[in-house]
Amino acid sequence: MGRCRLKHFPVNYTAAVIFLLALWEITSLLLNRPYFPGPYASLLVFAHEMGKDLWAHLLVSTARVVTSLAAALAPAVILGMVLGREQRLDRYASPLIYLTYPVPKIIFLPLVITLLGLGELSKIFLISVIVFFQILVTTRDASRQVSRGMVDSVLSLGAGELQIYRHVIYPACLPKILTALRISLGTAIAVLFFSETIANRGGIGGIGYYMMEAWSRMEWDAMFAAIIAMGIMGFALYIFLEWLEKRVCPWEFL
Amino acid sequence: MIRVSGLEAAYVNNNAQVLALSDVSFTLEKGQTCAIIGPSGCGKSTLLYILAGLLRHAAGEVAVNGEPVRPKRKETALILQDYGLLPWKTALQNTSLGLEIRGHSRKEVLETAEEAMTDLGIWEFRDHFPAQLSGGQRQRVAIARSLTLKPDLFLMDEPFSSLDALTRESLQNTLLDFWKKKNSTMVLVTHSIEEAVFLGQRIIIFTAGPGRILQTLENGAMGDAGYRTKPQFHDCCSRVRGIIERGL
Ligand SMILES: Nc1ncnc2c1ncn2[C@@H]1O[C@H](COP(=O)(O)OP(=O)(O)OP(=O)(O)O)[C@@H](O)[C@H]1O
Ligand SMILES: [Mg+2]
Repeated sequence: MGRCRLKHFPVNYTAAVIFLLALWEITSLLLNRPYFPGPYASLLVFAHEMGKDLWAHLLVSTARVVTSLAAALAPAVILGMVLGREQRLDRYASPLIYLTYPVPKIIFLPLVITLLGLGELSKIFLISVIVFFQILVTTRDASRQVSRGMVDSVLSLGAGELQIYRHVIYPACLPKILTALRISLGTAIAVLFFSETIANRGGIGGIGYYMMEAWSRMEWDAMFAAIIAMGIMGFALYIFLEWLEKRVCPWEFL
Repeated sequence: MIRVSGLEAAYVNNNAQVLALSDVSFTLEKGQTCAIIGPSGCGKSTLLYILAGLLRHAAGEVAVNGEPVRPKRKETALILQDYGLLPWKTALQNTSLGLEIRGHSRKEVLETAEEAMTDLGIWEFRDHFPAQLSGGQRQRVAIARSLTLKPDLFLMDEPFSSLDALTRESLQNTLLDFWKKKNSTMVLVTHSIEEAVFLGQRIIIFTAGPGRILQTLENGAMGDAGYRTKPQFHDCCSRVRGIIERGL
């Protein structure tokens, strides 16, 4: 699995895109409602809206997702690697993680807004916390599974604890970290959308805000343009992470 | 070079102490080779880990080169069966790792690694990842890596056990060459009687766990690649086999 994800990119992906567009067109024709325009009409509106201010919303939303992922990444990875290696620490941390991980943290949105306001901080904080847990748990499990023999043989070369992390633990966890990041991306965008619809100050409020505005004004075309924008954002970030994995984990793709 | 007396080692399994080695004593002079053979689970790997300073022993004395064992003795090289190489490093990066960790200059690291890899005939595979190498080539990289450290003590835990017979013999010959050239001390843990007899000047046979020394054989006739076909070789193999069978 995962080995040939991008290998047949042009053929398979083109076919998939055509299939999805056809499905969309057929659904739209069958429904024949103003609130469900077909792909052609939607893409035209998308281009038109991008020419106005949709691009700014798109940029703001993308920046929020990227910032949140980046903010969660380093602490989650470092803590995860250490907990996986130091079983004594993990004995205390594990119960904490097991109790808090399954709690849907989105329920804290109102509280977070009350505490941190309607600005950037509340959204980025909430997304980061959620993504932090996902990456933390994956990294810790990956770090636990690093074989003793591998660590011992590098220890026998004279490595110190930091060098063990650098040469053994970190690269061993890296593929799993990137997978976790890709999975977290979906969560991050979902939480972003939700928090943008609730916490905003108007203006350039992000795609979520843009979409709710369009929806409440029954501007169906604009709503679909926003859907397309969000889809493109998710897809582009996903592809970027895949590309990154190939770049930084070449040994996984032999 | 190695002086072990009254060594005892134990693991803690579910809060119960499990004895892995008991009352092990032997010495090995500088430049000697020693093969350790014994049933599975008798504590051979444990002994090697203790000699490498990676595991603390419960009782007895272990000295390497006149000093009590300690972790990270610079001149000790450890080669394990499968785990030695890091899958995310190329053959060259794996070979260089020891010197890199010890903070040598980039140029020195590269030169030494190239020399060791060339000696072992794997320089052309320097950019391959371990997954792209055969088992024999991988083990050559592991040996090259320890050679870069200019060790005076080689500790090997079943280094060739996953290789086919031909590759195995050719690596045994390589090892023999190196030992004769560098005159380093070697401790080799093996499951193969032929390997023990081919590479061990002294052969230490262990009992089933907790491991004790059952018998020690001197094998003075070893030392060249032709030994395998000589009658003394086969005699010695039969003796070892006999001792193991009687001992069990
Ligand atoms: N990390 C560990 N924790 C607990 N017990 C262990 C551990 N490692 C080894 N043992 C026990 O110590 C004993 C000796 O193990 P060791 O690995 O030294 O055997 P060995 O002679 O190398 O066996 P083999 O030939 O199968 O490699 C075994 O009974 C084993 O179950
Ligand atoms: Mg063993």
